Amino acid sequence: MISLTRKKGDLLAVALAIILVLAMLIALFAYAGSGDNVVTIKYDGLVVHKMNLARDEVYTMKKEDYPLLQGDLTVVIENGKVRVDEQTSRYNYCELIGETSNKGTAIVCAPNHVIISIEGFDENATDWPPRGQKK
Amino acid sequence: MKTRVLVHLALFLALAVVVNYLESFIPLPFVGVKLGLANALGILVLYYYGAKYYAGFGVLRVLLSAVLWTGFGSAFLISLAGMILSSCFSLIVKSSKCCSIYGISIIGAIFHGIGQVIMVAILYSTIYLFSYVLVLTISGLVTGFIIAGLCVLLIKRLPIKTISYKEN
Repeated sequence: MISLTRKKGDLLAVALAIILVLAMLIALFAYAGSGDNVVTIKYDGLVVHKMNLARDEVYTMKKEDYPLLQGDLTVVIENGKVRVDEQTSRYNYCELIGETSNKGTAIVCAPNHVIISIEGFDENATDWPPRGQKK
Repeated sequence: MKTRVLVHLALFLALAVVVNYLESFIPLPFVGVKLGLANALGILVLYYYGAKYYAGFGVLRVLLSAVLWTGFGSAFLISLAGMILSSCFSLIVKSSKCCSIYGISIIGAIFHGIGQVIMVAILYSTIYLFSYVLVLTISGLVTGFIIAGLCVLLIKRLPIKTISYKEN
């Protein structure tokens, strides 16, 4: 029978879960490295564009090129932070996430099948050509 | 399975699916964060009918939601992963007998979020959204506690003897 009143074991179980989560995050940030400045845009699991976080840039993904988008989606890098400007998905999820400059973080636009992450430094891949376009 | 149990579980399942659907219309400040009211029905099934029915209930709820609303795309896989991980850890905590309904609910809520993030990471081939686990963990602590409190209120008004059948 499950007890309906709180036990000491509850705190222990929750503490263990939090330790597990923190360990995962520490491992992630350690993996991400220290020189991260590349913003990677993935569409449906494929990398379509890379941008330098240190350089202001606006990149627009057109629905005609990327059919799984709910509408045109714009990724903006401004003052060392990346954000998404879009008005097309339900609740505008991607905009709600706000802007980020932290390594190892990601902006997930699940309704649009787009993930924008800040990953490891790769000088040769900062201007990755979008799918179907020449560099 | 007795007909009475079958009817009760079907009612719980129908309620859970409808509550889950209605909940999707409540916008919350963080993406992917939900109160998880449908999980309260799962916790009630665990309390009244035991582990076997709880595991089946969770999977059936995800399947039925997919049939009725979301389809069998990425949303289904994400829900299923969250449900499976959540159910596994809830049952581990329950079998340890060291936790109350609060611990079971909170652990379930936390690992539901972790399961969903793992599946999204697999589907979209990125590990970087694991940073979002922190938001889901904090929200899981809060929502898991609220859901457990809600279940305690409901169980006190609907004691186990009124359900009249429990296998374990």
